[in-house]
Amino acid sequence: MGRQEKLTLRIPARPESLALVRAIVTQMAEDAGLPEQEVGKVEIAVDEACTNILEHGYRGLEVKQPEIELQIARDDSALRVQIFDRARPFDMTTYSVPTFPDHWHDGHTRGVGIYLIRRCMDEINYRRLQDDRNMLELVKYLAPAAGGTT
Amino acid sequence: MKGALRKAAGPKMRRKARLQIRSRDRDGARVVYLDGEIDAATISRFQKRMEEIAAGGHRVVVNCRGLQFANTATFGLFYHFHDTISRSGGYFAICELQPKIRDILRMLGLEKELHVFDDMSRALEAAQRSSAGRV
Repeated sequence: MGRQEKLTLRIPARPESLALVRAIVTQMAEDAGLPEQEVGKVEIAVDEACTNILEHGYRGLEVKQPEIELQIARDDSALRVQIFDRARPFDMTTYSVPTFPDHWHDGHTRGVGIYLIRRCMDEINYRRLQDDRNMLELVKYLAPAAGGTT
Repeated sequence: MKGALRKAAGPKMRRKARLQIRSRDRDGARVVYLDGEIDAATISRFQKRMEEIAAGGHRVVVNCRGLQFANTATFGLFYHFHDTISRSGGYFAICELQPKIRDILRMLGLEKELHVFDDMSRALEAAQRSSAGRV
């Protein structure tokens, strides 16, 4: 069994929290050895997922202190970011993707975050948990290190 | 992971999304310099400032050299301003994008929709040509 690492982060569901989330996620993606452009993909995917929660998931809900919890884990094979919230359920794995460039020609300026998350990550899993939380898991596979064990 | 957290606990962790928007006239175009990050916390300010600039100028070049992060709504606004300014007979270009941001632009099918340049001098030349009806 190779090295396994895990970090838990709980933040207020506010736009001002996103920079901190990006800082930590990019640091961990860099430490996992991902190339710069893959780090950028993880960064925007996690940002979009959290933005969706605070702009859509919690909108109109009476939650005293809306929060987002992130569990970021890394092992030899992948970087996994699990995002938990108590917002309304939304399974983004069933979302239908926009067509480009028609989406822009039709005058839309938003609505591509989920598409981008799916493009940027290798695996996406969603579960509505028994405690009424949503769990969205974003996975980025890591290339095996040169000279590593098989 | 403790190592990662220690590193993140440095300047990166203290980082708050910031965005500086400066503009000045150059070679007949309004050049907008973006420095920082555009996310849900800063995008309203970006949109408002760009609307002011778009209302006052027919040729707009956005220099993204200092732009470290842009969320997807940013790209939607890039297209919106490109479309609005073009329809009014003007010209809108973006230049000097970080590779990771250009990568996202490509994924969103915008690289062929927008005027995108590696360096600002080319963007300004194209803006000048547009006024002569050659673009």
